[in-house]
Amino acid sequence: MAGQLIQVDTETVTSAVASVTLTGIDSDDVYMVAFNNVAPTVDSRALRFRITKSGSADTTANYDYAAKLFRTDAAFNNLSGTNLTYYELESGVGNATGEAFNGIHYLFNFNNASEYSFVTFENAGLNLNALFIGKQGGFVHTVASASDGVQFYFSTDNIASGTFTLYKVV
Amino acid sequence: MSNLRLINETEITSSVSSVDITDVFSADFDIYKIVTNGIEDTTDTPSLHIRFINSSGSVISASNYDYAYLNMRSEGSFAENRGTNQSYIRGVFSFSNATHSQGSVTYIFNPYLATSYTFGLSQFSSYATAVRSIKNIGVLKQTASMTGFQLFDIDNTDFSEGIIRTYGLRVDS
Repeated sequence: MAGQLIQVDTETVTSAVASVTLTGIDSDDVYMVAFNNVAPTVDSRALRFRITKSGSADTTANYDYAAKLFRTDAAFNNLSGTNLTYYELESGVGNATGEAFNGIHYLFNFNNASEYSFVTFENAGLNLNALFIGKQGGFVHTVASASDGVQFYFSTDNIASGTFTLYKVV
Repeated sequence: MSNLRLINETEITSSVSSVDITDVFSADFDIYKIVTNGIEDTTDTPSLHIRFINSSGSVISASNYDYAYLNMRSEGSFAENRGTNQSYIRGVFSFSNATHSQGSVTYIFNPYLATSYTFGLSQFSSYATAVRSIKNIGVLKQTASMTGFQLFDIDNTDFSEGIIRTYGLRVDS
């Protein structure tokens, strides 16, 4: 039956870690990353995302993205960037009681060595000011080489909590 | 076995202005996927939204919901909508002056986790004389366990058919 999810990798953070890396993409299927209850050890840290090549995060300046920032306090923002070294999900994730960051990313062409790796994303959470916000959009890693996973990390300090799971969509 | 587990399937077969889906959120899952399709109304004026139901079976109608959505309309300009401290999350399943049918996909995060707020991401498309598509984010700012949700029409307009399926995204440690 189409639309099934097969778990490939998962990590639940119960004590602080610098990053979470999920790997195991080895087919041309679409993959999905689901994450929930993500919070930093220190309030207001930027949650970032990279793709991995042979298990290591790619830090080269090849991330392009475009997104709509949904916000509950003002008009939405159009955001974009090119030649970045990461994609930033949110610039100031909060860690007060109840606050957490959550989202769904779909991954395309990761296993294809002759195509760029594409991601669509949707996420939401509360920032340091308890403002509820979220992003919807996509990014591309503009290198034609195979990617085998993803990495989440905060700009500084550590990940205090969160569950991150990589699924294959079949 | 798929990690996408069907928990509940509810078919609307008679005219109602709300549907309560109870006992679907539990410690077994942190992330849920709600898929609706074919929800149609009796008077052509539905506006379907969501509230959560706590472990006591009470529908949460306190002013603790925030939401923001982009309404993409083929008959007019796109519109942004937002609300804070509302009594429900608006525009999750259908939002239109008149619709013939709809389809939606919603992800719910941490509803049963009492240390976290309950978050949602949703998107739907509905059609009347023109298509309307919405992308939505929402949150219930209560740290309490939610075990279900209510789909309802704010104007108490009845809807008479449709299917609501609730899945859990299983994580095997």
